Amino acid sequence: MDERPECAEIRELLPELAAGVAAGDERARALAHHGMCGDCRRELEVMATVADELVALATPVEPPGGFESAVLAKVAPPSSRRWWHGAMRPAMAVALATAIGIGIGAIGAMQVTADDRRLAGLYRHTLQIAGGRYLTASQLTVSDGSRAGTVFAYQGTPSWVFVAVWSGTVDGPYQVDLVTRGGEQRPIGTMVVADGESSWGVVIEVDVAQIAEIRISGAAGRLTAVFR
Amino acid sequence: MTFAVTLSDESLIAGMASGDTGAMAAFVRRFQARVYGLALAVVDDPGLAEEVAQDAFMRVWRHAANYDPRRGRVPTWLLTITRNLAVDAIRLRSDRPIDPERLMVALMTETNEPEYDWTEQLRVALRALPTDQARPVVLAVVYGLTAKEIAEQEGIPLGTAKTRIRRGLARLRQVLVASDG
Repeated sequence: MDERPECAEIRELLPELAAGVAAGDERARALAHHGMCGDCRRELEVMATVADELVALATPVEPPGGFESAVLAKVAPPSSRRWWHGAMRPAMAVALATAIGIGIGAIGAMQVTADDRRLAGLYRHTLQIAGGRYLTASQLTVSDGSRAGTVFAYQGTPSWVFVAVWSGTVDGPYQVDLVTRGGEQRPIGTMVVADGESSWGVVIEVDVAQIAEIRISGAAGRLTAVFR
Repeated sequence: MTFAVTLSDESLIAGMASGDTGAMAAFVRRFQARVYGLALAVVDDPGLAEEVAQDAFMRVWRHAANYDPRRGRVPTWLLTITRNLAVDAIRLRSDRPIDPERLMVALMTETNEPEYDWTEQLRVALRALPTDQARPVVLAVVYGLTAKEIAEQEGIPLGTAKTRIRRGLARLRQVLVASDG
């Protein structure tokens, strides 16, 4: 440890700084010191972690009924926000790459930004590594058309379907069927929804291009993803 | 061949950043008990706690695109937002006296939720602290009181309040560092 003359004084301030209750002048003095002293900065980080974890000790209590719907009612409708605005998130990269690969193609990709072209390149590289041809996705909806999740379908070796359910259905087992473009319905497995969520996948023998629908059926009703 | 995974907290935040209300619904379901529990522990008023908890989720929804995983885990971020809103709420409601004893009980009570090993160790360490150290730590960290305010509330000199916060946090810190090693 490379102790500086002022370290002892600054360390006296760390607990209040970590708790977020230091006076303004003390806070400014400590932060100026931390710009130069890695040891004190790390000490503050540890103290701040203690403070954060202390807050997290509070006993969980279920809120009154209707809490979730009250929160969601305050959320703006998704149509009012353009999903491509803002910094692109890693979880969105695959979906965007899919749109570029399938909807736009190589010619279109040249017309978009350099970042998008780079992303398309990463997508092609990923498919190459994984022995795949393409990845597609479709919204999973309940009978009233509201969104319940996403179904991804990957054409490769092997080909697979992956289902992510986020909301819109009740807990329990669900039968998953694949409907081909010829109208044949094939059971491909059973998934379980717990706490309103589920993520489940299975290898399929059918070409992804032959998938017309993925149907997820249970006692509470049916979720459907239509592939175009 | 089948496989099943649970969407990570970070994936839900990414979905919320893109305007996905389904991700928001899943996020609320996952954390509502912890957020409401913390808000209730601080404000001690079910109606006010519900308002605070709703505001916390709305703040996360609005700022999901700004979440930086390098600066902390999602639950830590969410609960810090909740704590700050709860502290603001009780400062506006000066008619409600601050009660560190009640809050200390809420923090020290074991839960049925899955926890990290060091969370339980931290709880044990908090229980083991002398009360005259635990109270100032809780007042500072959870209620957001300054050392000067704590000195007034506890009827002790400012220097003593600072020393007790420092010694209390230092002892808790030892637990965290030991569990890291």
